[in-house]
Amino acid sequence: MSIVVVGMSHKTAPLSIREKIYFSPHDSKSFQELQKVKGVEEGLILSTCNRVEVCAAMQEGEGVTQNLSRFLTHYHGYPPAQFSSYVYQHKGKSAIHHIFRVASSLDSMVVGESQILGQVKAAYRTSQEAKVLGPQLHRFFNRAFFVAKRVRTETTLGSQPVSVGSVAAQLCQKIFKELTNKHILLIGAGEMVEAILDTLIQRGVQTFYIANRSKESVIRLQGQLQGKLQERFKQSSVTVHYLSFEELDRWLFKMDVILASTNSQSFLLTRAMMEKAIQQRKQNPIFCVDISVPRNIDPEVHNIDNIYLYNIDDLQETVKENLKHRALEALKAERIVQEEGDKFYEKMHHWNTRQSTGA
Amino acid sequence: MTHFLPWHIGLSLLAEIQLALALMLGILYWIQERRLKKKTVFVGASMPSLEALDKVQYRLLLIGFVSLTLGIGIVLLGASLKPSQSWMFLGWCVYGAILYLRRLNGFRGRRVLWYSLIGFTLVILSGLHGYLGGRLL
Repeated sequence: MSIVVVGMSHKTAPLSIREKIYFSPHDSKSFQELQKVKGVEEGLILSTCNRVEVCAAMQEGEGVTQNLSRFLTHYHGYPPAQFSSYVYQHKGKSAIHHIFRVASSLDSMVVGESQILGQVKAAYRTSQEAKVLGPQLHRFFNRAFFVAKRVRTETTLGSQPVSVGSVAAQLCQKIFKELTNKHILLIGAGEMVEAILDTLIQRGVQTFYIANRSKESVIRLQGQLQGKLQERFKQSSVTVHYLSFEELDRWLFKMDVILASTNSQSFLLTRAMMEKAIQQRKQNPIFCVDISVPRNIDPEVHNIDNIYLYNIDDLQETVKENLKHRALEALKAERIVQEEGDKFYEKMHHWNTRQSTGA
Repeated sequence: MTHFLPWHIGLSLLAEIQLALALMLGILYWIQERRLKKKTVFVGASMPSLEALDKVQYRLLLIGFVSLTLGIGIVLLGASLKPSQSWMFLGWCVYGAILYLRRLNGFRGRRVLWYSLIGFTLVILSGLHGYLGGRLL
């Protein structure tokens, strides 16, 4: 008995190809067909947006890997030759290492992301419910979950954010304990601001203020954003207030976090404005993120006590640092996977020998 | 006076513990604030937020100050302040100033750390002076 993995991932195939052989978790027929593949004793189908893989415990013999490979494309009505250049195959020790790497998020598009483990667990449950999972794969996947947990506890692979939005949100949490009662001011809008906004809302922020140049544009923006926010966060009780630039100075003291991103050629928030605001709010910290070019917030603001100003370069620098850190942690994780993979392979070899001798 | 002495010592000790903890949190706050200002903060690290540190530090300062007030008040019930207790009184004044300024204009962070350091030194000196029978100072 040997473990075989056949599939394609974001590393070997573009989305346009992957989507053609995507298996729906509700498609019970695919499991029935998998069981019919010659040589397959147990099976599991892992189908996510980044990978489609079929893992099987198979009898040793000629062409068993090819049979599985054929199933992958045949099931969706394509000849195997059409996708052969995109499909990878792993057998024995290599398959064990591969699945351990996938579950530990070492093979993910963003190395260290936590979603993949949940997806592998879901695939495991679905295959179990479809009754295509037997003792071999049960042992194997439980070991894979154990390895993923070991990687998570023994390394800091997934603990550092690697997007500008999540870096800004995590910096926020270095300053504020709770984000639910904080007031966020958005000056202008843009893709990057929206990314930060998304992360802040996910972390519980409920009150937003949006400032724009004129009252008219504020009203226009109000209509656009209200719908957008409501659509995106249907369940959340997000409230949005709108301010014109003239009102900004008067309300600045209420803001805990300020996100600026406009095309303005001059500073919209000056040192004097921020000094006044921080005094009015009795030195309660303010976190400012200025992602506009040219900058909208006077850089001198960072020198005021209890105000922390970060610009796009600062955030990107942190992302770079975190990526470097992740790469180092990934090396540690690879060692764990290697060690556990070798151990499991030895054990499996031992079980197979015992089984064949009937002990 | 001897009647109140155990109470004075107990309350002063309690105050010293609270104020020592407040000082430690002040140091953590200073480290975190410095990292944020220098933009060297490691976002993955599990250091508490400035807000959390500040809240707990303020509570400790408040409890420490109340304990210190009671400790000094008990002495004043029996007799006038001895030289060792005068150090404690000065420390009490510093902590009182910290709490007053905090309410007045949100005094926090680095400045609170320096003031706490002065206040705590005075309180500890008073304790040492008292325990060593005036041999130190």
